[in-house]
Amino acid sequence: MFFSRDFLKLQVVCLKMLFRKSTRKRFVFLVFTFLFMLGFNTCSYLMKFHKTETLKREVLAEKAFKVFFTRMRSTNDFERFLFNHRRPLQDLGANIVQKAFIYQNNLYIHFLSPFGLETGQSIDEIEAMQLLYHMFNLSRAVAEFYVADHVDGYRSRVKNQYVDYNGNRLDEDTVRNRHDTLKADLGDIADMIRSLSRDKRKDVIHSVRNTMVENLKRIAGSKDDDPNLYLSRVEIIVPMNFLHIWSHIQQDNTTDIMDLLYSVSSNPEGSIETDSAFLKVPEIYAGEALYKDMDIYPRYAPIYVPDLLKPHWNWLLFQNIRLKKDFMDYLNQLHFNGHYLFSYEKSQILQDKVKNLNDDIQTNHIHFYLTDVSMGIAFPFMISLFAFIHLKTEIAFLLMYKNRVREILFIFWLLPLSLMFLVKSGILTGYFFYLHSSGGGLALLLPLLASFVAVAAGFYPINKWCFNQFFGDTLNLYALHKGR
Amino acid sequence: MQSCFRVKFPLILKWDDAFTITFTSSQAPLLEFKSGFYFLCGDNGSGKTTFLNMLALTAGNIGKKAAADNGGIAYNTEAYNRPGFNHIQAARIREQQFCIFPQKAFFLPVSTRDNYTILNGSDPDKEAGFSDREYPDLLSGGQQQKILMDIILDEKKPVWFLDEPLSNLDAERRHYFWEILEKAYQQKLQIIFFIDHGMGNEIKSDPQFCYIETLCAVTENRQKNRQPEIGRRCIEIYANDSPDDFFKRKIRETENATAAGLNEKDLSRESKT
Repeated sequence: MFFSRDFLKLQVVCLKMLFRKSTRKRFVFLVFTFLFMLGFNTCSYLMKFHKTETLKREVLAEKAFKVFFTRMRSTNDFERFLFNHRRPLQDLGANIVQKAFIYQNNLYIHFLSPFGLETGQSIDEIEAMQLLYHMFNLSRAVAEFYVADHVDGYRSRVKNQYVDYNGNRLDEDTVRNRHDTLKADLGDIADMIRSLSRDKRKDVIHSVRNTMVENLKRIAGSKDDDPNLYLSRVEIIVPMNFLHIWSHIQQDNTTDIMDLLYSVSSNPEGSIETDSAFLKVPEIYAGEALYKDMDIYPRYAPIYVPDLLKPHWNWLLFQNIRLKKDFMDYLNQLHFNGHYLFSYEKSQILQDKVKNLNDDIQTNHIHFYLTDVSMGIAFPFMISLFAFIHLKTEIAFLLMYKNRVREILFIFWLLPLSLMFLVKSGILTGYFFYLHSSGGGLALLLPLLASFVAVAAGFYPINKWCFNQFFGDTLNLYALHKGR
Repeated sequence: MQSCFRVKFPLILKWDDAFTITFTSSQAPLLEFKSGFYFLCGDNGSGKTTFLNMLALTAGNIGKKAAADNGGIAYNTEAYNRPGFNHIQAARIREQQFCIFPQKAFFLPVSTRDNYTILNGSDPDKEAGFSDREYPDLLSGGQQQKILMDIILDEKKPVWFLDEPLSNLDAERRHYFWEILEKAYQQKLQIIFFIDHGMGNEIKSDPQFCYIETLCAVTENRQKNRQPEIGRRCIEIYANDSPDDFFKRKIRETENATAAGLNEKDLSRESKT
């Protein structure tokens, strides 16, 4: 029936009738107003959408919103925390990262070997470590930490240096001060490890610790990378592998004392050569939070929650961000029970940001749906009324001879919809061409499609009602007896 | 298939609950129109066209809005007031069965060829005969009626409603009209409803036509805050079961009139010279 030659001919005749000289100006003005208002409204929606979408992407991509550092007061406290909270946190989709912690504003983190020395790690753990590396701009430092693998068959060479995370803009005195403090901290930690040993290994650890700490070098963070806004309090990042070396010496019962003394050598250019195995996580900490038994407290242990923020569709009408509120409540509860967050503000900022953004997205979409649907029905209704008023005799005359009831309805339903489609697809193409960066196309297409479908469905009965005189139970085809 | 209209009186047509026309019959409450030529005779405003409109499904209530207990119209097996009958079925019947010649010539505001394509379009050869540059609005009333006749009258349809089709036509075109009417009647045309103010006396005195019924049309105009206006008019219906002779006679008459007209033209031309 539709799109046959007869239908197309009828369509052309209908358009000719609408654009005939006597009604042309009025009809063109009506159509122009419709297109202008529709285009203006769609543009306004798209601009706001672009803004909120950009913010949404930023929030979703922010790595700091996937890791929270909570305070542990002591070994026992940490043990209790693990015992009481590990399972509930797992139920909430969060895991405690075991290979990193913040102590005295310095992040101690295990540097994974690029040579595949580590084994038996869970995917979550690796993901969490990678996230931390990215968050603290460590990817390059980690890649360069291992200078050489398997020197002489079983030894590796690593850099004897730490990363000054937020010290780029500080004066030299402060930097030097922080350097000295770190050295003292490392010395203390080494001494703690040393104190566990009861034989001559103590001297070996002491000697190695002195060599390493004295030769410890600072590398400034890249000037291109600013510290993460939410974790800018972190001052220095220390490879935890240094602690592994001392710990391995303390535990190694298989090697002669003399050999242990030579097992770690420090090169003047700022690198350490040691047994490859000494750079791995010590066996006693396998599957455990590293160095939780040492008195490196108070420390902040990281909790990794990858799915805290997720894009969320509301009845396929608009996409906003879903925040795991249960987790945030749990985190708040931890905070107020003494496991203070390293940055409590971050959790509040996060919730505020998500709330404001979701409000903006919702308001924009509801406004768009209301205006677009009402305008999309009102103007086509006016066009149908216009057609009925100016063409009622012609249509009645036509229907006296031809069964074109459905076609006429379809034409006057299709005409405004095709205008809408043209305007919207044009604006959409412009948007994708000039403004759209990447991804999120569906978040835009679905609302536009939903609004279009709602208009199409809502306008259908209204259009039918407009021509009720021909298509109702009371027929009134005037032409037979009234003429023009 | 034999076409037949069955009309059960009273027929009531309401416009906005204020204006009502009620048709009643003087004799039997059921009237049948079978094959033949039906002539409707009555004064202006007596409701002839309205009655044809109701028969031709171009005005009035259909389907659920047509009250079954007040009478109704049925064409063959299709009762207009049966439950489920709707505008689509009405349009289908009009397209397939009825040929409606209106009282006044009217066109779509496009070329005559487009008018033919949209309103009829059954014969491609005939379609090619119409001009795509000629716009009916620019033609005279008589020319319009001629064009409309060519567009609308369809020999394949069994029922023709002819509402004063000859009012503006010259003798030559009247001759043409009676010829195509006769031709159509020999093919598929079965029932003809005909209204003409000039032929009333001729039909009444014609022995081939018999009087079959007088319809009484009561009009009620009840506007708010006004006295109701009630009027009563009559429509007489005459029928001719086998109108072939009538058609032939009309063809002869119009042929003679055409010839006389031509002679008059010749004579006037000669006298001028």
